[in-house]
Amino acid sequence: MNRLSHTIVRVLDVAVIAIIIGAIAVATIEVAVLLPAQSLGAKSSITLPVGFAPSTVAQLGSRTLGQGSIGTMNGSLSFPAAPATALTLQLAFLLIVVVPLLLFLRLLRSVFASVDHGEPFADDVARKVRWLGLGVVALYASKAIAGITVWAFLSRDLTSGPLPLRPSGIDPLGLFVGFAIIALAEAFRHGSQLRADADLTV
Amino acid sequence: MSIEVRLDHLLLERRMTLTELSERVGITVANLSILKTGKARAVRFTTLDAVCRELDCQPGDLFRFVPEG
Repeated sequence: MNRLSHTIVRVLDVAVIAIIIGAIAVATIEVAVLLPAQSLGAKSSITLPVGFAPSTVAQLGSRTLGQGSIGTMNGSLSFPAAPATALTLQLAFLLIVVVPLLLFLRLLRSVFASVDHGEPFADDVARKVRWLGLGVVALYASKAIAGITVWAFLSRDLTSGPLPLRPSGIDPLGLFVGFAIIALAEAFRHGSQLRADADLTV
Repeated sequence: MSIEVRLDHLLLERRMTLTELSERVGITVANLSILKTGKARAVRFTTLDAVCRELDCQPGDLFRFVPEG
């Protein structure tokens, strides 16, 4: 048993439980707040998880995007919406974030569990590490695409030309880490082949 | 693979079972079975040395190259 791997497996177990409990709590609070708000005719808004850094927002000044607005505190984009719509979108977004995160943690736990059991080069470990790398690349690529889309959308209305600002959300380091994990998966695949050769060496 | 292992022929000629050979050379029956059935990917020289000593044969008696096709 590898002590570090064993500890990481336990930490990941706790993290998964915490995320599930947290997601249920957030969903419960959103339902508890937004449903009564609808019956009272209150207004609510949808806040998109993409936007610009606060310093960028300061340069933009008080800018509106149709009916939407850019928050000056966190640079996020907000649009007014009916409480039921806001609730549906918030819950959908919660699922979109939580489910892949849980799958990612499950894969990571499986890899560390294999190491803990003394089987780091089992056949499926390389495949799981590759999926982890692809997941990281997909996450940062989608963040970059979302950031560029928001930047392009905001820039199109300006008669003076596109915003001379670099869009937020582009993280080359994150993409690099993802590709590094994919390269590591190839090393695991090679290790799996060497292990198979060693197992069939008489 | 094109390398044919003739361990079963040699065991028959020497009137020896795989289990007996396993006990003499100190290699498990499972590993010798991998060798006998041609599933082995590599053979250590120490294994070859032990098997040839117990079966009183040459390494060339144990293996034969059979071209594919």
